[in-house]
Amino acid sequence: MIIVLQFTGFAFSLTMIYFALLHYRRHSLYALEFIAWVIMWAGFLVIISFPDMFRSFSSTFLVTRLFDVLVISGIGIFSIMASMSYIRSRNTEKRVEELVRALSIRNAKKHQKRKKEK
Amino acid sequence: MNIVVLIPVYNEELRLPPVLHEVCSAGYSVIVVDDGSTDRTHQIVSRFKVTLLHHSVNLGKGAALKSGCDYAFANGADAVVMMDGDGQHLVSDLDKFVKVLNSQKYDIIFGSRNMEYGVPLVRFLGNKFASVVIGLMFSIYISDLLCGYRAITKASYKQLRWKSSGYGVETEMVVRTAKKHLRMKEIPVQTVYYDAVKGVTILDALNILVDVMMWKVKL
Repeated sequence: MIIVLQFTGFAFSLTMIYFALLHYRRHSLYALEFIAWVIMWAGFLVIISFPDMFRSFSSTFLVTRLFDVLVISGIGIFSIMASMSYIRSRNTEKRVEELVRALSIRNAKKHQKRKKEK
Repeated sequence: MNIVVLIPVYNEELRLPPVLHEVCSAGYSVIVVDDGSTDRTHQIVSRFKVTLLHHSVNLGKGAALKSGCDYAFANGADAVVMMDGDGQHLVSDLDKFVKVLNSQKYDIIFGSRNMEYGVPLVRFLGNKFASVVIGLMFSIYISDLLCGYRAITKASYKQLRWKSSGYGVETEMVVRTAKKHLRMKEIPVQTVYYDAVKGVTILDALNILVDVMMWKVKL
């Protein structure tokens, strides 16, 4: 059972590293972002491959199972990512709104000016 | 007083022409904000002698009203009357707004629908509940919180300029009116309901509720 879980996690990490590389090559990710993603997924690979290495680490935080450490850190990472993407999408939304509104006002002014000239 | 009628529209090719015809015939200056319509609204509006502002994508009612007000007040308007483009608001009620605006006693005028003019019961109860909540939170009671038939002066717009881009705009206007202690008046208006699908949904209402909590803290 553990081996199957390890294998799934291993395959998932490798796939995610591949996607990070793919998006980096397509210039969707900056070099620093790419490195950060690779480090994260490589770390995940190491934890899955050698879980015993981290047992003492988990007991330091009073968490009995290594799996719980993974879940807790996963929730932490995804919460941070969700809030970051929320802030980014709000900023993008605001910029789009400002741009569209400014364009509509500019075009209306131009149109009115042309009407007056006629 | 230079008063401009502002009509935000989104996909109103069927109901907008009679509204525009009536408002233009009554002799008002009109600004139509086409909020990214995907039907023939844009072409239809172009046939009338009105100022047309066109949003290339749909931003929401709040953003459309903001564009319209920015344009109107930058081009010599002293006051703006906002009305819906789907024929829900009657052009005959415009004179009531103009009369109160010309008295120069008020900064903002809220249209208020009431039961005898055919507001669906569910909307009426939801609206009343929202009015009471806003009243308790911000010490202002507007009997019809979500009615879009409103008028504001140039001076009050500077203080009211809202941030909501969607249907939260009406509530934000009320909240800002309370916070800035603007002089306000409610006048009764008639409403004709054509479309049960358009307008504020329960999801919109929930979003507005979250915004109200934010305004309580931030504004």
